[in-house]
Amino acid sequence: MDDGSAILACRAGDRQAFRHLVERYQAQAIGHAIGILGNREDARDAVQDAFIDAFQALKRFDASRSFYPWFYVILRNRCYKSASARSRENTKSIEETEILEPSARTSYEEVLLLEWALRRLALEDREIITLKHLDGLSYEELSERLGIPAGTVMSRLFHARRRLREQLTRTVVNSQPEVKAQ
Amino acid sequence: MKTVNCETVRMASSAALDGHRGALEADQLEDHLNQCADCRSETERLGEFMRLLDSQKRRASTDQLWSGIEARLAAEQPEAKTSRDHKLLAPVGVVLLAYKLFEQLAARNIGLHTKVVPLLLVIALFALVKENPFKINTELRVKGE
Repeated sequence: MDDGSAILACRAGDRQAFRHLVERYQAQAIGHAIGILGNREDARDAVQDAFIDAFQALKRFDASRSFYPWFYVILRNRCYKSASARSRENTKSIEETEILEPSARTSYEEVLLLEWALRRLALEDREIITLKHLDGLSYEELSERLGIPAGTVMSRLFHARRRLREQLTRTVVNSQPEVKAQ
Repeated sequence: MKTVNCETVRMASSAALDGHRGALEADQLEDHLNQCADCRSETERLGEFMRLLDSQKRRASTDQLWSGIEARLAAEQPEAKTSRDHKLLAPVGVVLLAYKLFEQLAARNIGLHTKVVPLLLVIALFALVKENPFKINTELRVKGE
């Protein structure tokens, strides 16, 4: 079943057709929600809420567009709402990564430090950096996804990367007591 | 040539490393970098940092959400049906009220056929919402329960 047929079936009230969309996009959506919220538990809840919102809003979806960019706007709203509701900083120690996948190219300790610094960033900074560098979105795609002009993408990326580097430097200087390398 | 400050150059360098043209022309940027050692080393460090970021991947998720979503959709469905029923009830209520006014105001006997109209309307309404009025609804829930 393709997305278009699934959406038509959902509009006709077929809940099972929605399963196709959930199973196709859940991993991507959870990855993006963790990229914004910085932790898996809140991200799972936000993604679930976003799928419920999307099901109820499918009647307003323009079928000529792709599903995921439309869904991303709903997901983003849910993540920001969730973050403002909890309004606590994510300062717990990290023993494993949630945003980044450890790889052979970078040492595990370096990935943990980067993850720690990412989690300390503001939501907007973390979101734009992960979309740019982990998903490889272009300025045009970022502009569409975040609803901001391309010039703003440029300056926001510049400042977000600067803050991430500062955070990383601070973490290294403070000898990262909270980061427990495996 | 217009002089440019280091902050503008660093932002333009950041965009250039992303493959975009910033606020400066390429030759303006190059001229400044050739003359300013601080901006040159800052650009090199930024390039290195961006290569580190580009080499990272998102952690893959294996979480399965469908069962939770399905349960929530099923729980929310009766409420949606109720709101649809309310939308249908409103115009029927208006028609019944208009009929009652007509019945009250009419100076003559309106006849048995016309008096059957409200009953037909109510039967049509139950047929439309696919509800049997004589069946006890075991799924009835108090809102907010």
